[in-house]
Amino acid sequence: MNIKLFTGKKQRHANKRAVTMLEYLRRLDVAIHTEDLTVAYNNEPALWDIDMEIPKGVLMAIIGPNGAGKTTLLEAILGLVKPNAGHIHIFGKPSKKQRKFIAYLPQRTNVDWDFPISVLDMVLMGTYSSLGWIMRPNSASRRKALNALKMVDMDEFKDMQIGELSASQQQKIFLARALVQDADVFLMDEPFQGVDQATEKTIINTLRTLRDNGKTVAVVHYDLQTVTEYFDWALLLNVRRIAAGPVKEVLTEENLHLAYGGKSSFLSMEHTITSGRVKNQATAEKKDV
Amino acid sequence: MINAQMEIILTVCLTAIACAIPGVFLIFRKMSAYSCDINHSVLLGIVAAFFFVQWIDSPAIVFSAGIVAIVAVLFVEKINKTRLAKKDAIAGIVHPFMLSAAVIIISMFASRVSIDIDAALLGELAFTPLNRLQIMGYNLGPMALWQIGGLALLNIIFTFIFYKELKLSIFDSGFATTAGFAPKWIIYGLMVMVSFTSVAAFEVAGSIMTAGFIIGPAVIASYFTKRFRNLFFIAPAVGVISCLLGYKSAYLFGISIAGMIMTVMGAIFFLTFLFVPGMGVVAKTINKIKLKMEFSINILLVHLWQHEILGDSARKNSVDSVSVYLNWKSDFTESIIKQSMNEQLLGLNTEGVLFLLPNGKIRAQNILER
Repeated sequence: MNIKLFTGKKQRHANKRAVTMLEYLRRLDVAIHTEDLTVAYNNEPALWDIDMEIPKGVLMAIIGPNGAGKTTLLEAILGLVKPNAGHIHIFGKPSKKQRKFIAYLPQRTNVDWDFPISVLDMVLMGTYSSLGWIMRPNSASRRKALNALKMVDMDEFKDMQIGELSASQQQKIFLARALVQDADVFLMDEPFQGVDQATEKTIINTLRTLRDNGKTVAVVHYDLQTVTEYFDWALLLNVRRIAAGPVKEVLTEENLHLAYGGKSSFLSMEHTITSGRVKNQATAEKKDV
Repeated sequence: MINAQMEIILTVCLTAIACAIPGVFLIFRKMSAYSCDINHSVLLGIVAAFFFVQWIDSPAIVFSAGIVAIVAVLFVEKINKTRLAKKDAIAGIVHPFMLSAAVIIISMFASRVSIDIDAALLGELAFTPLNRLQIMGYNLGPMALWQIGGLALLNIIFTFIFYKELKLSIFDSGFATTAGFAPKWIIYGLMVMVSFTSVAAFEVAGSIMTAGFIIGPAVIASYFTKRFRNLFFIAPAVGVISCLLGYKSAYLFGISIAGMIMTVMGAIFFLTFLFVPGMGVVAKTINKIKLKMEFSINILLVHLWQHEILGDSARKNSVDSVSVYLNWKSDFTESIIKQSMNEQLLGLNTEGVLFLLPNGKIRAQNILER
C-alpha cells in the first residue's frame, strides 16, 4: 500500500497560513504562548510537549517541584536554551524578533557579585537594549535608572559596589534593572529566594503595580503557601504541563498530587488552610461592611 | 645606543598596554585560563604559519598565527564540551603537547631559521631594535614596535567602541542575550583580541611571559578600584610601571629584560596583595582582629548588663569569674576588659566587681535591641 505522508508543497503552505491566521485571531489577548515545546539536556527532557499561554495583563506563578523545568521554560522563551521541538510565540509572532518586549530577572546566583560595578551601573544595564549597539547611556537613561531605584527604595545605595549589598538588596536592584527595560512582559526566576519579609512585600507590590499598568508578569515561584495570596494566574508544571489557569482552578488537591506526587499531601493541606484563611478574611471583610 | 634603549622601552611599554586591556576582561570572565590556552598554542601557531608565509617577522605571520591560536583554543573548548575529561586535566596535557610539538617542528625542520627556543619561551627584547621596518628605503623603527603599537591601538579602539557590550557580556551573559547583544560573538571578538595580542607580544616577551603581561596588571589593578572603567587605566599603568622598573634593574644587573619585568610585576603583586588598604591581606587581618575585639567587648558588656539586672553581679561579674563564666583565656579576657575600660565603657569597684558605666549601658542596650 502506498501511504502518502506529505501533501503537496502548495497545499502545505496554504494549510499553514490558514492555521497561523486562526491561531493569531485566537491569541490576540495572549502575551506568550508555547506549542508542543520540548526542551532536553542530553536527550533528557526537561520539558515535554508543553502547550501553555500567558494571557496579557496577568500576574502568573509558574510552580512545580524541583527539576520540573520552570527555569528551563523561561530560558527557552528567552532563547537562552534551544528547544528540541515546538514553537514559542510572543505577542502572536515567533519569539526570535519579539524578545525586546521581555525583561528577564535571572536567579541572583547567576551573576558574579564581585564584579566591580556600582548599583547605578548595574541598573543602567537595563537601558542597554533600548540603546542598541555602541551607543552609551545618556542622562535620560540615568534618570530612568534612578527612578527605578527609587521605586524599590534603593536610591541611597546607588554608588555602592554591588557585592556590598545584602541578598535582599541585590534582588531589589535586579528588579530595578528589569523595570528600567520598559518591557511589556516580565519573566522572573524566583525573585523571592533568600529575601527578607519586607523585601518580599516591596517586590510583590511592585509586581502588582506592573500588572495594574497592563504589563504581564510571570514568576517562577517555589512557595505554594503564598501563591493564592500573591498571584491571580498559575501554571503548574512537572516536566509536562499539569494545569494552567486562574490560581483557584489550578491549585486543586488533584493537580498538586499529580505535580508533587506523594510529597504534596502536606503542601496541599497547607494550601487548603491558606485558602481557608483567605476565605475567612473575605467573609470577615464582608461582615465589616 | 640611547636611541635603541628608548626603542626597547617603548616597545615593552606598548606590549604591557596592549596585553593589560584584554587581561581586565579575562580575569572577570573567569577566563584567565584562556590566556594560558592561547599562549601555549601561539608558538605552534607561529610555526604552522611560518610554513605558509615563509617570512618571519611579518604582520602576515602575526595574523595567521593568531588564527591558528584561535583554532587551537576552540579545539580545546570542543574537547572540554564532550565532558570526557576534566577541563584542567585537558589543559595539563594539551598545553605541553602544543608547546613540545612546536619545539620539535622547529628543531626538525626549521633549525636554520631564527626561531630560537630560548627566545620563544622568554622572548628577547634586547634584539627587537635589530629588526626594522623599512618602507621605500626609509627606516621607520623596529618592526616589533609597530606591530605591538598597532595592536595596542586596535585593542583600545575595540574596547572603547564595544565597552558597553563587553561589560554586559562578561557580567551577565544571559541578560546580554535577552537584551539582544549576542554575547557569544562578543566573547569571540575578545578571544581574537587576546590571540593577536599574544602573538604580537610573543616576539617581545615570549610565550610564557605573555600570560603574565596579560593577567598580572589586571589582577593588581583589581585591588585598587571598585569601578570597572578605572581598571582600564590602572592596569596599563601597572604594566608600564613594571616595565620601567624592570628595564632599569635588568640594565643595572645585565640580565633578561622580560624576566626582570615579570619579577618586578610579581613583587608588585605580592606587595599589593599584602598591603593595599582595605583589600590587602594585612588590612583584612587587622580588620578581622578589630571586629573580633569589638564583638568580644559586646559579649562582655551584654554579660555584665544581664547580670546587673539579675542581681547576681557580685558572683558573675567579678574580674576573676568573668573569664571562667565566658570560657575565655584569662589574658584575652584581661585585654578585653582593659580595652573596654579605655573606652569608658565599664569600671571596677573596690570589691573587684566590674560595673557598666553609662556609655556601656547604652551600648549593651543598643546591641540587644537590634
